[in-house]
Amino acid sequence: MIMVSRAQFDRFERNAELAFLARLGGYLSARHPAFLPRFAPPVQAQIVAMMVARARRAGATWQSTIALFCDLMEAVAPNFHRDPELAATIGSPDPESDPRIRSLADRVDARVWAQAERNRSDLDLYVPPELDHAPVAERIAAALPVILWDRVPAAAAGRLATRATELARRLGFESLEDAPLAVAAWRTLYAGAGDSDARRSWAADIIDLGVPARQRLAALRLRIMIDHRRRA
Amino acid sequence: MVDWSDLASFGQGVAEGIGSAAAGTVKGVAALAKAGESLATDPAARDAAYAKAKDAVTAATAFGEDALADPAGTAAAVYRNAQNAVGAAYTAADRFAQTATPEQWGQVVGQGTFYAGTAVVGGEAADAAGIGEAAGGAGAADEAVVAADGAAVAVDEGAAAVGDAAAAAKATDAGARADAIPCSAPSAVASCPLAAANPGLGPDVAAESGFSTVARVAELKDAIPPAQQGRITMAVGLAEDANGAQQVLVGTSEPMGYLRPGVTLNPGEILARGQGHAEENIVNLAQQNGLNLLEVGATRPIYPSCASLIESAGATPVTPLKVP
Repeated sequence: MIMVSRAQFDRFERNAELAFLARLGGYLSARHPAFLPRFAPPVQAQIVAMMVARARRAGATWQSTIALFCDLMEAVAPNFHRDPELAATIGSPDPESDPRIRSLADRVDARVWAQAERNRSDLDLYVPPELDHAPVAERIAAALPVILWDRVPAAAAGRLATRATELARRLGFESLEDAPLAVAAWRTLYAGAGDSDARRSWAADIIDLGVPARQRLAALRLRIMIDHRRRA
Repeated sequence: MVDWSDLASFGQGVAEGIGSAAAGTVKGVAALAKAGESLATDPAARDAAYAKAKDAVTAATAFGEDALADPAGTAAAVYRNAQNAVGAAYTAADRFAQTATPEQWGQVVGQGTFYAGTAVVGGEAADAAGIGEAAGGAGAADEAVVAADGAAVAVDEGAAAVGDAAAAAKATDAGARADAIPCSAPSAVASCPLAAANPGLGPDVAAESGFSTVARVAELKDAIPPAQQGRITMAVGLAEDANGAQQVLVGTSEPMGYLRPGVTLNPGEILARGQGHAEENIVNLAQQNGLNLLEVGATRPIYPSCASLIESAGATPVTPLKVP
């Protein structure tokens, strides 16, 4: 009889988990080419791991259920599971969680999905679930080294988060919890570009307080994608 | 001419098309890649894309039924759809540059030059490189818009995406099988045997054609931020295709072709992405695309194993070798 030690077994499990995360990353990259591929590979892996952690926390255990959960996080909203009606449908984690999650599309009507999309916040993509109950400023600080992986070291994230949160508030984004991410990216990626924001015609769109905040924030994210090929 | 209807149909079909680029499914992917290239290389195209999205928002919020109930949500959805379309175009361009054969490149490039941009460094870096001419001038500005048709469908995208995601997940299997999730990530890096060290240095054979591998290596070395010069290796490979046309390949030791701020490619240069040594990535790219590699140089002394790899590919190391 072959005896597999605990250490060997743990290693097998760890390897299987890494292989799964890699396959899932490839799957999500194909499904949403404007999402993961816009990050550096190590950051992609980090984001996928956090998405999977959220799926498991909601009770998903099958690979296909985890994949669906992660897919919905990008297709609808990273925080879709926080919508009260969706949260109630998903229920607490138990042995029936997988079939419940897999049948979400059949059991929840379009109105609820649209509502979840309206309340979309990207923060859940970049922050581990362990920080879900932390203050927003702390979650922003944790997310910044992820979305600005090549620009913002963890040690500087707190200060940038504070500045970005304050600027987001002045821009009227205070009701949008993930707005400081885009604002921080704006200030970081365009700094030193040799052209002031005032001279950029699109910047006027972003700071126009007469336009709804969600619209302006979406416009800012589009512009960052256009100019810098990255999600913010 | 870029067919922007490909952007309008952003979604599963486009995503699958991008994923199959390496398998030769050029139609659609090529158009999307060209769109990404236009955006990457032409500031006017980027401004035009933003302006078009803004127009689409105006149209959608003025006439859409959903806009009556939630104009800000409608506008945000249109912008988000545009963001996804632009991101998909960039990803298509990155992957196409990495995987396409010379023939496929020809279909995309036409009379222009395809800029093999980096996936993770900002597009504005392309401005400094002065490679806007590759995008095709005024034509690109017309092409580089985010399709208004795509914006119009964006309002309904949320609900449609749910069914789409569910269908995709169901297609993967209901159980916990290890292979339940289809993997579309290209796995094109070939493993190459590493042989004995090569002590010699070869001539810079292309100098007579106007391009100097050694000189280009020096340029890249100067461009790497000083703090990273001792830790990053960049390499330059000179190759020729079946028609004898010269191609310049640039590799880096950083994962998947990441280029540090300040490091830019010249027009026509091809970025060799990969997880190996910079020289190794160049050899792999040349092999994958049927290019005849002539010579390779690097910003740091070439390891004996890499020198051997270069020689096994029929090329010559033209910069100093590392003493074993």
